[in-house]
Amino acid sequence: MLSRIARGLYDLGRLIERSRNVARILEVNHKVNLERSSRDETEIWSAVSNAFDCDLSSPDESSLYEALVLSATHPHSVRRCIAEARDEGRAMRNHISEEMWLHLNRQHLDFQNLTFTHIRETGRSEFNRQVEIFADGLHGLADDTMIRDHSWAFLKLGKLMERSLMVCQILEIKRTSITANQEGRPVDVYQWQALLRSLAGYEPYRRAYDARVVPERVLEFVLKRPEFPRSLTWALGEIQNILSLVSNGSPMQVSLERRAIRLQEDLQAVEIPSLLSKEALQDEIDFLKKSIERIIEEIELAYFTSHRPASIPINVAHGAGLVSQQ
Amino acid sequence: MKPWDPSGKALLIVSHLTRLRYTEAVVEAHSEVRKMPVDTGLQKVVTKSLKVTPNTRIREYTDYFGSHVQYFNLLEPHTLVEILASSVVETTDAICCGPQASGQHRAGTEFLCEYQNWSPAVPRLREYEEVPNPVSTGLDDEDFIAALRELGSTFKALFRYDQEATDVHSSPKVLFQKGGGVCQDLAHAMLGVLRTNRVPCRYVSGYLYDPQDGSAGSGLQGTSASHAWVQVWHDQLGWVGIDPTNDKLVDWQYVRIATGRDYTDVQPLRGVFLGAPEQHLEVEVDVQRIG
Repeated sequence: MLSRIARGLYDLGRLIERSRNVARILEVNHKVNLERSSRDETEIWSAVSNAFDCDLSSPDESSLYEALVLSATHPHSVRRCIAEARDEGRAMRNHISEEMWLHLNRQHLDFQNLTFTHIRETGRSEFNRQVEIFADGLHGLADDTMIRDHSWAFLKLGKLMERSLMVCQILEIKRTSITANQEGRPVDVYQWQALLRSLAGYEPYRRAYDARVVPERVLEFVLKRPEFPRSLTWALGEIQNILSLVSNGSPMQVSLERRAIRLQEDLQAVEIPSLLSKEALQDEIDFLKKSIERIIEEIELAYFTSHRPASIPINVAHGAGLVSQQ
Repeated sequence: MKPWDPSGKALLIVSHLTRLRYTEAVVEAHSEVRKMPVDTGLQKVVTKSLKVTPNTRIREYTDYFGSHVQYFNLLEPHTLVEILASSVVETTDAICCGPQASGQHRAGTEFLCEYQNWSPAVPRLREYEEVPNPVSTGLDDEDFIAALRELGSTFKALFRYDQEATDVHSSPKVLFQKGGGVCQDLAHAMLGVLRTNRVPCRYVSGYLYDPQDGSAGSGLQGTSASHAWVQVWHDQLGWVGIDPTNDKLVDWQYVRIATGRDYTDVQPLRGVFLGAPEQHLEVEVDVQRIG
């Protein structure tokens, strides 16, 4: 497979997953906001704004929708992600299924003239649900209609890398509000629920533990629960599978696989109770984020970048045995 | 000796070994070799062969200038390449063979114009004008040869043979600056001087036989490697060879391989490879007379 094609499918997977997560985060924080007093509004939205580098002076919900949904330039903007995904899809048309292409194109056309008024009229929750259904639908179609070849593998790899990164982003957004409660105040169960909901994990959590929301268990669930498909450990496990599927054993690819295995081991070694202080959690988030970003860079190097060195000329002169080394 | 009388003949056996060593294995080497003598009015090739180690398939073609070009790929990792060119050539004790043997396929004297103009390795330089040039196309045959000899002596007096002064890509400018160079540089400079006067002239690569017995024609420079000299066109004589390195008209002691506008048209070995190690080059040339 050409590296250009692999990169296109990988980017497609990332863009779709990203649009879904952004919509989810906006939705969850919208609901959190409804539960809290207006004083906290700025705090909630600045956490989101900071996590996605929105650069807003006084972040509120509508300015975040402008940046993260409607903007044509912000790299996390839902509309931009879907427009780019559709462009990738068109370029990769013969590597994805017809169903996927139609699904992608329809959503792109629907969002072409999107405005904030339109979102308000539809209802924010309804709008966000549309984005989630679109993204889940596309990944579902990929799983149900694509041949299990390298095209499928790179699409999935893109989704998984974005998902791992998003687990860190969501923890980052919720970090202040979840750890603030540790210092003497009762646990703000609602914030921990919001964390679970951001990862669509509230219902699975309740099914697994069948009980109240406990901070240690929530962190354990989103980081280390192997059965939960939006936990970090699940994503890392799948990343390993995909990498071993597409690797042809070049040194760089082998080192990439090792790095993914190593991160999984590091994650398993983390003791969850020790993360319940503000600093410890921040350190762990930083470490995980950096490691995942490193893996993303290495995927770029091992699969999408040409390593062909420049050819070196041989020139032999007349008269003397001189050779050029340029 | 009449210049166009091919009476005396000599049989020369040539072996030319090029050894390229790399500090680490390299891959995907593509090489083009111009080491095979060709038939001309003054020489006849009896046998010739090229051997490459590691063993590989050698393909060949004849290029625009009539040179016999051989090329091969070495795709597998390798640290050593040996290219051995061997030939037996019958040369003639004459310095030219008339305009009929120009070996050119283009009509009239049209083919001469590309030998009158500047070329990649012989760029226009002010320095050429410093060398007094007695050669012009209007001279009759005897004066022409005398003028060539005179130009050869001028070069011998002006420049020393110095393997350290220049490298494969040196412009003739470096020769003028340092006052020394190898046959390649001297040939380029002479081409420059002649082309300043629009005298058609070309670059010749080949080998040189030195009897090494103190007899006439021994004690020549440039026998340890492949050699290069200049041919100048005269309407009655045809191409006449002059060797600026040895101040000598080209005769039976020379084996001709290829001709072109300058070095870049007749490079003995040209190629590319992948890998980033150092390359070490050894060249061994041996020319013996066997008849």
